[in-house]
Amino acid sequence: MTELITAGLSPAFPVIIAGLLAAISPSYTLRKMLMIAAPLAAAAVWFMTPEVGIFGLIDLAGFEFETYRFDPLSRVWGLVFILAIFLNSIYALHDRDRLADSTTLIYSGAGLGAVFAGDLLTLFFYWELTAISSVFLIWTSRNPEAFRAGLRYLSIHVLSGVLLLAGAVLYANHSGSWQFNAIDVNAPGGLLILLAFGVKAAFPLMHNWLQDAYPKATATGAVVLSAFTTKLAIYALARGFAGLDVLVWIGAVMVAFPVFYAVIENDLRKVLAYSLNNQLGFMVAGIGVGTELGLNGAAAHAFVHIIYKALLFMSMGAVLMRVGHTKASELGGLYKSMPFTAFFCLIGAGAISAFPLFSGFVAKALTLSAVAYGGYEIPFVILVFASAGVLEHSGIKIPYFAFFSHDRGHRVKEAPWNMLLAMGLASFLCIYLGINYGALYSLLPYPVAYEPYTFDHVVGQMQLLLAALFAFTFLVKFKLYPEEVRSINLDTDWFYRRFGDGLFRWTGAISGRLSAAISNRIGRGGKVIADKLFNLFSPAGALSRDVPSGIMAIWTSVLLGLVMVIAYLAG
Amino acid sequence: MTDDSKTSHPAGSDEGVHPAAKPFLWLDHPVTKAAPFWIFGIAALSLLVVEAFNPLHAVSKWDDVFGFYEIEGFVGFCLAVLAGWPLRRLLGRPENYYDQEGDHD
Repeated sequence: MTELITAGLSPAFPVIIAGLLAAISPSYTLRKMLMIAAPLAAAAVWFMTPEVGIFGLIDLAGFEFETYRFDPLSRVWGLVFILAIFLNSIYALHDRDRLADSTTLIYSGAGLGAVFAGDLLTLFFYWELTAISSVFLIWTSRNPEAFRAGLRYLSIHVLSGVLLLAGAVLYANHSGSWQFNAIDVNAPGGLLILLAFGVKAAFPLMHNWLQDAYPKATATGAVVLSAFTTKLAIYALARGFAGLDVLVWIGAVMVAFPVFYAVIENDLRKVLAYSLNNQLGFMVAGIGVGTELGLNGAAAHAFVHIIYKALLFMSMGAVLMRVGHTKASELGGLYKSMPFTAFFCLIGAGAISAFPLFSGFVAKALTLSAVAYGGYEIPFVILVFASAGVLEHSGIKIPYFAFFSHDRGHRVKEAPWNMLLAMGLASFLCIYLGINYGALYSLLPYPVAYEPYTFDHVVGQMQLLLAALFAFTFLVKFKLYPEEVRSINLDTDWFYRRFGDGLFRWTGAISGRLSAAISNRIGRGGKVIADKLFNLFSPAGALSRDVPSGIMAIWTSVLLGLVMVIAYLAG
Repeated sequence: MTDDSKTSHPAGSDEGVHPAAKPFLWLDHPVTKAAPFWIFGIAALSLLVVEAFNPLHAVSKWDDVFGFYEIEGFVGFCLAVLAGWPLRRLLGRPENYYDQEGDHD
């Protein structure tokens, strides 16, 4: 095994290869065996990697790709990604969709590959592979709404990749190296790379692809999506931009605004998507502080967050599977028919709310302390406020409105055994890591000299949570808590779903008139060119026969062309 | 996606309840539903008393204020929830706001 690793075997390879094999395997049993075997093989590679170092050097076209960098930062993300693949595979055992099985593995493997990438081009390759493979987890819902959301998701993530490539070319030209290490944001290309990471990390105003797409994925797809894309971006930020002061403030905004959206959101999977955004904010803030404590906090938070967020998405996936929707206004009382799912959801809620003895408590403590010790007074207050907000949307709203609250009379089957097993394992980890926190701390990038279970910390956290719980009961008792109603809420996606769409239609109408004027007044020459372009790029045109949209093709071509121009000028 | 085996019962009915859930049906009792208000209120108050006798060590100038975490917990939670009323008026739209032709065929 050691020879194979030295020769270039990375934990990503068995997962991606299993995904490719699953794509051509008509046998359900074989696909499921591949799904279980792949993370085990990846774990074997991870555990048997002899030491910190760079493996898997591939010479191609005069460029040396570093496909497997195993160091204190990448190994913690690598391990939790492998763990997530294993849990997802168990959760999806009942699923007979070949496309979903295959793309789940390829996407997860691409996430692993990106985490272990030692250079910016390898990172770009896997960055784009995560985007392209993950969109199928949305499309496998197989309805028009999910299809359109998938297109929007893909466009935004391809854009992120293009920004990354453009930034990498400029940056490498400036620095003379393609190595993916600390990046100077003020150097040419540095800001583009930060933006690329920011899009994928769902920075404020770039966030809405997450709430738009994840709730439209399948029950299993949302669980898979919740683990990799955004946490890959967090890893990239920790690797490239640790200590960048502005990230503390971006993190502070990220933790706060989703709290307000989550309160008024009716779709509980969308509430979880906003909650995911909020949790990412804690990690971004920790990275912005940039101290060893801050980076340990971000890594610990990412590790436990992947597990408890997957657990919460799993529980809502089970509700979606059994009831058919996750609308808070029409749920309630489900603990009577899904008691085990309700129990596991409560454990996930306890973990994300950071109750003592749960994993969130020992992880979030590091970040909050790092922000406070770093002298970031206002962000500290915002992060503490957001901790109460987390309790509101993920700790109370999710379990309360789905499983308790007003009994709507749904009597459904409990979730299948495989879903319960996956939720049970995730629940065990939420508690195990909260109690035996040394196991978590020993994985972190830097040595940890931190004791989370002090009198100050336990009492302070319990004060926050109990006061917030009392506030909830107070607001419900006096009917001040807004009723859940069937509605959607405007967010930044309005700009491209309504405003942009309207602008596009208006431009189309104007260009149609212009085209008519050209054909009438100047002659047929312009019309011939216009017709040819239309035949090529229109939704029914030649370019659209094999891809979902001609417009998508145009945009991708334009953006890639832009990158080539930048590369040419830089060279 | 939906499970075909689901059945609907009158709200509050105990028919079709999972055997593992039966020992927990007391959760629906009005007394049980009213209890958390008092339990959490008293518990929160108790921790304030604990802090009064054994002050927490501050890590920032904010948590040097007595009851900082309780104030943030209560006020922050209320602020987030109460902001929901105007925000829903401002941002709320019908569920079919973004629907297109053929979405529900």
